[in-house]
Amino acid sequence: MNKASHTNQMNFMNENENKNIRSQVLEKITSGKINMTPRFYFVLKIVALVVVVLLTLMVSSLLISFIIFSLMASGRLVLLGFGARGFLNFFLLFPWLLLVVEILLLIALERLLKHFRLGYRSSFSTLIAVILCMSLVISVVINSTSFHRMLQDRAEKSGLPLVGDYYRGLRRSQPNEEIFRGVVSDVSTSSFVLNPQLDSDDAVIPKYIVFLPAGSASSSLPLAGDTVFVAGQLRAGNTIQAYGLQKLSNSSVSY
Amino acid sequence: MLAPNDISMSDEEVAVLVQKGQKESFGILMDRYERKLFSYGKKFLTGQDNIEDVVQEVFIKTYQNIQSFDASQKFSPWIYRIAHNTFVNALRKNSKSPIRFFDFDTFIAHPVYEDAMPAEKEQKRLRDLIDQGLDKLSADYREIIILYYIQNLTYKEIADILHIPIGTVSVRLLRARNELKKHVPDEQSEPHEPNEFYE
Repeated sequence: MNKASHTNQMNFMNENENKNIRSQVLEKITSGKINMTPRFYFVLKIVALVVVVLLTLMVSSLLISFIIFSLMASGRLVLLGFGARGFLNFFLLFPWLLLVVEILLLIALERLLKHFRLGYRSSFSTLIAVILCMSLVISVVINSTSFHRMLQDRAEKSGLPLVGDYYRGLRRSQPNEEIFRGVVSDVSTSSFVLNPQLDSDDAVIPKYIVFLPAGSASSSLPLAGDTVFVAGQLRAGNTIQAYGLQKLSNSSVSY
Repeated sequence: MLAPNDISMSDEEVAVLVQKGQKESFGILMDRYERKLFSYGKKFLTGQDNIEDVVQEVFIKTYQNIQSFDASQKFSPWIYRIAHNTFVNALRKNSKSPIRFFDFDTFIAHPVYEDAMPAEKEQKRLRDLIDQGLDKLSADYREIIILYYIQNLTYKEIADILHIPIGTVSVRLLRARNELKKHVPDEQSEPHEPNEFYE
């Protein structure tokens, strides 16, 4: 069968069906059984989609900025400089749940952007990378402001609805997590006394005697009045054998 | 101004007339796309006897949504996108086996390899190959073969219709061809370029 005869056969087979479709659809259109959806509906749909995308991007950025802020404010980021044990503790204390929520938000954003004309032309990984970069840049901008610090102050002083629990306690010592923050009050040759910041619910605030990490020179001892971050195991007699010690700068203290 | 039945009018110009309320102009668009969509549906929805109803549904959806068509873009990928969605829904409704929803190939960016123009002798072998193996392919492979080799659409148009990156079109087409080769005798050759036999 040559090309022309094949085409003719196909045309003949479909002709009646096609005429039927055409007339049926046109009849429905002219009789008003089917109508065009008005243009403003589509405009509203696009506006709604843009709003949802921007909101999701904002929430995603806020979440990333909070994860970074919480790691800095709690001092957990310092753990990364405390060797393998510090690294492991950092891994265990990382806010994984927030990260999972963040990943879900990024995927939701990717899905939303696919609705736009340009979104689907990029691969999943490219689009996610672009969204992540945008969220990171916005989160850096957020963290350069006092936004989270203000929320933290409010959460600690007067209470903050919904997200207050996430802010409270970030600046406090967490003995069960083996991380302590406080002010040095007394220093001896290989140890010092730490006045820790604990949860405000604690009726009695103990003082800890902190022993320097093994192999540390006495020159690494902090001075009385320094604010320090200590990673170590709490032992009997309120003593702490530190495996990591970091003096906090003024900017860190403000967190 | 051009008359609605002027054959020199582009699809986009006719669509604008419909948007402005000239309902009867929609008939021109149906005339232009009936055969193409019927052919697309018939090959894609293998084993289904309601192609006419499904194609009719495509035109109804096209008319209902025509105000969302951006006349600065091409009309063809837009109506094919509606057809694709309608056909996939029809497949899901009538298929017992699940239609693959997630495509790992869309995960990473792939380079685009456009095929070179084929020799004319390749076209008959292509027709035979598709005739023998098309209904044995999975829906996503079957569809991309139809769109490229039978509907003669470009990679970019297919990407616009399927809402996948152009690199993924290239990779999926390659996989579809390899799959097609598995289902036909060894003496058949691999297709290289779209033809006009099924127009």
